[in-house]
Amino acid sequence: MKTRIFLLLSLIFAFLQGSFLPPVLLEGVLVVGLVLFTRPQKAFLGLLSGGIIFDLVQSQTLGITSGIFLVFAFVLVLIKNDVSIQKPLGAACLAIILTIIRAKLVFGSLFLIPSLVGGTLMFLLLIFILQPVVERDSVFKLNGKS
Amino acid sequence: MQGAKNNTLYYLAIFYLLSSIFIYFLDSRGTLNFLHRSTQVLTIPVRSWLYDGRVSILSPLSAITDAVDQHRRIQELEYRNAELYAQLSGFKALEEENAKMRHLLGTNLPPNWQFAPARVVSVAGDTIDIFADTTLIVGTPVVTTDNGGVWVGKVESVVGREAEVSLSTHTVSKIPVIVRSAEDGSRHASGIVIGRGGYARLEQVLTSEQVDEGDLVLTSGLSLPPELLIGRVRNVIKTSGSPWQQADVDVAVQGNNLDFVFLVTKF
Repeated sequence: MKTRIFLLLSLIFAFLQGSFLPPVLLEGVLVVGLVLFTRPQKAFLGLLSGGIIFDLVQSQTLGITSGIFLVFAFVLVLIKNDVSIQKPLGAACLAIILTIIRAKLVFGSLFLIPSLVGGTLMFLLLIFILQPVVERDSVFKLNGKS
Repeated sequence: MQGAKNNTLYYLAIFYLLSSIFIYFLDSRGTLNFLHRSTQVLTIPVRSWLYDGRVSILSPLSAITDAVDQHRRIQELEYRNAELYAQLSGFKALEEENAKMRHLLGTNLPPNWQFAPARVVSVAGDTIDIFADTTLIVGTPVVTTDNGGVWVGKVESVVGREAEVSLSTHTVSKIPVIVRSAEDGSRHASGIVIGRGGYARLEQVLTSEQVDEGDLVLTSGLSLPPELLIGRVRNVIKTSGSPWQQADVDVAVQGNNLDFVFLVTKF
C-alpha cells in the first residue's frame, strides 16, 4: 500500500468513524496493510501523519494514535521475519489487537465487535490479494477458445 | 550492511516515536489548540452531516425494536405503579395509625397501661369488627382517644386476627359506671350502663344520688379500665316509689365514626 493511499484512507475513515461508523474499525487493517506492503522507513512517516489525522479529525489529543501506530509497527517490523504476518489469519489477529489497543487507550472501551469486523475484513482482503493469478491459457480455455 | 540498515530503522522508529510523544506533550498542555480549532471548522460540519445521515438511516430500523421495548417497558411501569399504589395505601394507613398513637400518648391515661392498635374493618349495628397484629383475647377492653380515653366496647369473639367488639349499646353490654359532674368532675353517683340495642341506659342509680343532664358517665374500674368516658347523661327518668332512677346515655362513640381503636392489653 502506498503511503499516500494510507493517508487518504486515514482521512476518509477518520471522518466516518465515530459519526457514521463505530469509533474504531479499520485502523488495524490500514496499519498492518501499510507495514506489510511498504518499506518501514516510509511506513513510519505515514503512520505518524495518519495518526495525527485520526486525532485531529476525531478531536483527540494529538500524538496518542501516532504513538500507538508507531510502537505497533515497530514491533511488527521486528517480528516480521519470525512470525508469518503475511498469512491472512496472522494479519487479521494483529489488526484486531491494534484496534482493541487503540479503542481502550483512546476511547476507554474495548469495542470488541468492531475490532472483530476489522480483523475479518483484513482476513478477507488478504485472501483476495494473495490468491494465485489464473494463467492466460486457462482463461482462453474457459471461454471455449483455443 | 544489514546491521547498519537495522540500526537506521531503529533510529528512525525512535525518532518518529519521540516526535509523537513531543506532539502529545504539547497538545496535552494546550499549545496546539489553535490546530484543533482551525480543523474543527471543517471537521465538525462534516461529522454532523454524517451523523445525521446515520440517524436517518437507522431510525426506521430502531423504531421497530423501540416499539417492542416500549411495550415491555409500559407493562413493567404499570405493574410497578400498581405495587406503589398498594404501598402508598399501606403507608397512609400507617400514617393514620401513627397519628392516633401520638394522640393516645398525649392523653392523661395512666402510663402503666399498655395498648395495641387495631383497625376497624366493618361496622354492623352495635358491633364493630377489628383487625390487629397482636394476639386477640375475648374480653379485652377496646378504647379510642378524644382528649382522654373513650370507651368503645369489649371483644366478644375472635377469629384469627379479627375480633368482634360489642359496643356499649349492644344488648350484651353491661358496664359498671360512675357519674361525675361535667363542671367540677366531682363524683355524683354510680350505676350500670346497659345496652338496649341501638341505645344505652344508665340504670340502678339510687334516687338519693344526684344525676343531672350533661353529667359524664365513666367506667368505674370494676374488672375494666377505670375512668374511661362512655357518654353523657341525657333525660333522667325517675319513677315515684322506686329506689332507683335511670337515665338515657348519649354514647361518646358511634361505630360509624371509628377507623382506629386500641386494645387495652394491660391496665
